[in-house]
Order: sequence, then structure tokens, then C-alpha cells
Amino acid sequence: MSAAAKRVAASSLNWAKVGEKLTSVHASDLGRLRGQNSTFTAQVDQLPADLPKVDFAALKKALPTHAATIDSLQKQYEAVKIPYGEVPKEYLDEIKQWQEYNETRIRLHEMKVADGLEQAKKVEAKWKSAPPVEHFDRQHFAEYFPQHFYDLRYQERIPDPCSIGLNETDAFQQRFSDYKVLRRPDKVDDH
Amino acid sequence: MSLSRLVPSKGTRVLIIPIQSRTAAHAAPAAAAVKTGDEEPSFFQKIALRFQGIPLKGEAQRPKTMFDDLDKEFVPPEPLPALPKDFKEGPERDLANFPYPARSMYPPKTRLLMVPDSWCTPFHKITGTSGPYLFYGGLFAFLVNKELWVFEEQGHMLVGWLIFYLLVSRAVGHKLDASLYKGYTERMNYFKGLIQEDLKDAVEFRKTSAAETESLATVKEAFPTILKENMQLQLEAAYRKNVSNVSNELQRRINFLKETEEAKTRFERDIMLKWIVNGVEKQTQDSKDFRLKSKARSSVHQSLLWPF
Repeated sequence: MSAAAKRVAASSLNWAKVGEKLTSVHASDLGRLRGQNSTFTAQVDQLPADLPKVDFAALKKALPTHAATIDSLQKQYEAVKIPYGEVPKEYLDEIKQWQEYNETRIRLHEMKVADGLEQAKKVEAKWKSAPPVEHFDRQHFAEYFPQHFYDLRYQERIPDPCSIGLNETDAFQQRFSDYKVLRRPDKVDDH
Repeated sequence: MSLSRLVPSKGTRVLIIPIQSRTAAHAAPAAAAVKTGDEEPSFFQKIALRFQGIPLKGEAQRPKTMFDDLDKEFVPPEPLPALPKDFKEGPERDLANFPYPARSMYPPKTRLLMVPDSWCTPFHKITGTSGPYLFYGGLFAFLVNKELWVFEEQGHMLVGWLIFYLLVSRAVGHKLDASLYKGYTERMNYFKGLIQEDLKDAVEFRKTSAAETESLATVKEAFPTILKENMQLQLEAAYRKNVSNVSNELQRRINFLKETEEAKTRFERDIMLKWIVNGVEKQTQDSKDFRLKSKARSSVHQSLLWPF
């Protein structure tokens, strides 16, 4: 029983410190866990930690006619042992499974970070090696700002200086790829 | 960069002397009048003062005049950023033979409005400073003499166009340059913004990924403890509930015993009271009857004794 009390006392976590380090996604998980924790803590706080001591001798004096009953009660009371119980193994196994899942998640995150860092380094290296934008040549604009400029020397696209979306689909390329004929694919050329 | 830079500021003054002298001639009496301060300037003097940008009496600020920018050279507030030293786009760039064509802020220097300075300087070592002029003048004279350069019949119109260009460029060149420079700066800033946005993504990624890594490490460290702790707390709560139940049950039994004891005492007291009351009542009744009987007896006795 005292061990249980110790366990409960020792289980205090620095929630604020943990919460500071978490991102919003994990913070919501922590919030749910904290809700459970506070519920159980409130229950624990409300209930007595141990069986109270009863003065059976005084009771016997007060109720001499029920001395035998009180004796029996005392024996029963002293003999009662409330089992503390333990966390079921399958639940602990679930925690282990969750830990494995978390490890996998961390590994995936590390892979993502490695890829992303590589990309970030590429981007930073690209702009580090670029000349100042005031000294850009014409081809630099197409090279460094492909969303805004295009180079018709090697890009297959229709000039679209007003950005009306001629190149969003390949309908125009299809239409004008062959200027000789415009026939439906199902049309049979039998003459 | 506009062509107005082709014309040195000093040289144009000769061409626009008539304009300047005319404005000066108009403004002179007005300025004199203002200086004296005795007389109110006339209507035309006011116009002249207005054109000159001289405030009238009672005006706190100098009026904006269209001649403010006349013959003024636009100088950008800051030069173009210099290319990094030995800048290379890639490792294969041959900087010795193909240097990067850095954009210059100003056009190259010219002489006589249009002769590039670089065409003249090589002559200096051999012919001295007047050599290039003699050479090009002699060449031009030779070409004209041999009719290799033939004056076109409408060629003189070019002089008029040149004068017109010089007038316009001197008049609005500053404004034009300023507005063009503004547009150029805005466009460059737009591209710089695009670059910053691209770099910001990289910086943001570094930040968010670092935060996510720290968060996951904290989760790994703290969450199993929290989960176990929550289950322990549930166990503790269940245990305490059982304890509470046991103590409640004991208390209930003790209370029952106490109540039975109290009830027993109460019954005993009630019965005793009742018994006493009954006894007393009985006694009183008996005494009452006795008295009545004795009274009756005495009356009988008396009647017996005293029958009449």
C-alpha cells in the first residue's frame, strides 16, 4: 500500500516542460493523456490511501452487549487484505508496440529530414552559386525562375507572354503537331 | 540607361543657353523686385518667379517648378552590387578568356558625344592625347574627299533630330531616368523576393524539422512513462476505491451495532417509563378508589351511625 503511494507520488511529470518541446500534433496527444492523468489523479486524491484505524476496544466498552460481534468484526477487519492489482501484461505489450511504432515514425522522420535537408542544401547552393540578380543574363532568368520565364530553345511550349494558360494542357500541341490534316482518330481513310 | 548620358552636362549648356538666358532675362527684374521687397510683383513677374521656383511673399514653401530637373543628371542612390570576386557559375567556366559579363551601372565613357573612349586611348602611347582626334578627323576628311562617305541629301535633318533629342533629354531626362530606375529597382526587388521565398522554405524546413525531431525525442522519452503512470494511477484509484468500500462497510456495521444498542436502550427506557407511569397511574387510581371507597365506607358508616 505504501508502495502504491510512493508510485503515485513519484509519478509527477513536468508537464509544462514536456509541453514546451512538443509540436502541435504531439501536443494534442499529450493533452489527451494529461486529461486522463488528471481524472485519475483527482480520483486518487479524493479517496483514502489506506484503511483507517478503528478503536475496537473503545467500541467494546461502548457496546458491551455486542462485544462478540465486534470481536468478529475486528478479526475480519484485520484479516482483510485488499489486492493492489497489477497492470495487465497485454497492456504493457501494447505500450511496447506503440514504442516500436514510434521508433518507426522517428526513422521515417529522419529519412524525410535527410531528404529535405538535401533539397534545402541544393536550393541554398543554387542561390549561392547564382550571380546577383542585377547581373542576370537572359538565360539565367529561365534557369533560376522557371515558373516565370521559359526558354523556347529547349522547352516545347507555345509562347504565352500574357500567361493566358496556353501551355496548361497539351491540346494546342496536339492540334498543331501536324498541320496537314485534322481528322478524328475513328475516321477511316478509305479513299 | 538612357541616352541622355551620352551628352555631358557641360556641353549641353551651350545648346540651351537661349532657354536659360531667356528665363534668366525674365526672372531678373522679378528677382530684383522680390529682393527689394517694396513692390508687389506684377502678374508676369509672378509667373517668372513661379517658373524659377522662388516663393512669393507669404509662401512658406518653395514652389515646384518644371525647370527643377532641367539639365540635372540622375545619380542612382546606390550602385549595382558588385559581382563576387572570381565569380564562377560552374567549375568549367574559363574566367580568363570568357569573363562574366557583369552589368555596368553607367554606359562606357564617350568623347564628342559619341566616340567611345576605348577607341581613343590606344592612340595615347603613340600619338599623344590629340592623336585620336587627328586620326578620326583625317579619316573622315579622307572619306569625304574621296567621296567614300557621301552626304545624303536629307542628311542635314539629322542635326535637327540631334538638337531635338538633346533638348528633350536635358529637359525630362532626369525624370525619365528616375522613373526607369524606380521600375528597375522594383523589378529587381521582386526577383530578390522570389529568391528569399525560395530560401525561406529551406530555412523554414530546417526549423520545423528540428522542432519535429525534438518533439519526437520528447514523445519517445515521456509518453511511455505517462502511459504507464496513467495505468498505475488507475490501479491506485481502484485500490483506494476498494479501501473506501471496506472502511465504509465496517463503518456501516459499527453504525448498525450502535443503532441497535441505542434502540435497545431506547426500548428499555420506554418500557421502564411506561412501567413506571403505569405503576404510578395504577397507584393513583388505587388511591383514588381507596379514597372513594373509604369515603363511601365512611359515609356508609356515618349513615349507619347516623341513619337519620
